Amino acid sequence: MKGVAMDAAADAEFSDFMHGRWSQLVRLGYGLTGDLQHAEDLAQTAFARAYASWPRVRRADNPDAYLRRIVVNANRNRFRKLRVGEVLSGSVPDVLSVADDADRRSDRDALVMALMQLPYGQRAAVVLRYWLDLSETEAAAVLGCSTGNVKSQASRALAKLRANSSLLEGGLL
Amino acid sequence: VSIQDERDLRDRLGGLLNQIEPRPAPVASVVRRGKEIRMRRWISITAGLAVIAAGATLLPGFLQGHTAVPFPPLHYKVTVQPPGKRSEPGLVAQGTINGNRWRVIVQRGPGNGCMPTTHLLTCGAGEPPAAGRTEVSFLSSSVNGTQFVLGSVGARVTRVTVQLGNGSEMQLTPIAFDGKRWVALAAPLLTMGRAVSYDGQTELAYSIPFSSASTGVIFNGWLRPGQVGPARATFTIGSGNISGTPWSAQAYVGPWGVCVTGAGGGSDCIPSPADLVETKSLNSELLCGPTGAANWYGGKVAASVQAVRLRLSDGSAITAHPVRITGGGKLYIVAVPKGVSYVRWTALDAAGRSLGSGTGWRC
Repeated sequence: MKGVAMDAAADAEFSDFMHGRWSQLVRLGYGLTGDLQHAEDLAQTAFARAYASWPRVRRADNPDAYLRRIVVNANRNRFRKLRVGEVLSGSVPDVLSVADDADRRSDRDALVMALMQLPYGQRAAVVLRYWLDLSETEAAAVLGCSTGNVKSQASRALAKLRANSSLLEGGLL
Repeated sequence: VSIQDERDLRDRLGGLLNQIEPRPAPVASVVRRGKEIRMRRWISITAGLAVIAAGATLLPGFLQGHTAVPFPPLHYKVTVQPPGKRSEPGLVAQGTINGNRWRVIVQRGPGNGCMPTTHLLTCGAGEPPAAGRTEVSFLSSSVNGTQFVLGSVGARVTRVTVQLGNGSEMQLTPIAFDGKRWVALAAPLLTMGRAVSYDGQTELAYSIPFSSASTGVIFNGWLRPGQVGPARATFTIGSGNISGTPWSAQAYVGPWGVCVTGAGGGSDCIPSPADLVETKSLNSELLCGPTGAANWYGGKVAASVQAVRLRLSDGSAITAHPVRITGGGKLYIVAVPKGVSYVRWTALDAAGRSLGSGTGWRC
């Protein structure tokens, strides 16, 4: 039974909220999709839904967890549909600075490719645990699974990344 | 896995993701989309309520905010079929109710909310939210005596059954569309009963819906086979008088979880009473919004809170006495007349001492 409109003060509050989290949420989306445009779409979806439930979201104990959950779940559905294309894709979107030197860019491309080759649950666990530095409990809340599942997903992902020859050749991991 | 590996991975992920530079935050377009979502939800709710209001003469007590369950029809015939090969994209299911055709369609994209008409329910693919692996995440919408449900199906679910009050059992086959798998059904209002999800012949989970005049049928919580949900119980969590008209609000506990109704026609459902046990916040929002002559505020409070005093913009105050329900959660609902805003709340203990306070909620 939410009202249709929010007042200007609430809009301003939401605007501040969104400005403060936009970049991080897009980066989370990029870590999950390897595609900046999709990442921005996911972030927009999450913020639009947050706006629609703003009175409740703003009073939530952890509004960031709410946003991350939407991004992860929204992309999970998209991933099911597109995963073959994603796994087989040989190109990485051009999102990095043109000033990057070729070696560093190659390393990053290799990492994106390696991430995209992980099953979605493992990829999400890696990004949540090792980029956002969420605890296993926090990551489990975002993914909607047990902490044990997060631990095993992250562990399997690390093992796969360690065995990934393109990353080994880069001298990392 | 060595710590060194994890550290390396953190460094490399940071090097990759921290250098992503998104375009500036598109606040205006997000707000526009958010308002559309809110508007669609509002239309969906008010459409359902309009039907109920139209039948209010058959529902004693509804106008006072009570939840009277009308008699469902005794004789009816419902059919359901999956879409054919030449069906329009997004058609999830179709069928008939007493020979009258119904359809449920999902529109591609992230849109939320539903638009029900008598024989057609159209929903954005953003709703309902993703389901657990063994469950179905249903949304409900009712109009002109027809109850629609649209479900997003969990990964393990290969078929779903829904029992109707006339003894028939509807077989729903998931349809893949826009990255989700869907089922849908329409039936006369308040005739849907137990829903069961299956993996082949193996029962995965079941759901007993909450049914009331003000909400229609809501499939809210899912239980494992053999699991028994909370016993059915009803708690009055608020009552009063608005412009000479009495009202009361109830929390219904049962195998569906907890559903709150009566706040001017608004409602909210929570999957489990345990979800209402508040540990961090003295007073947090459960539902909030304008309906009729009042703004309605429903809250859940910490166990130590015995009363909540709401200070209003006209200088008056309302004191709510939260009611403990099954499972230990404590709930209340108050009605604040339109034109008066809710400025501040104070949570009080049994001795009337302040435990804490906060600013009033804007809905």
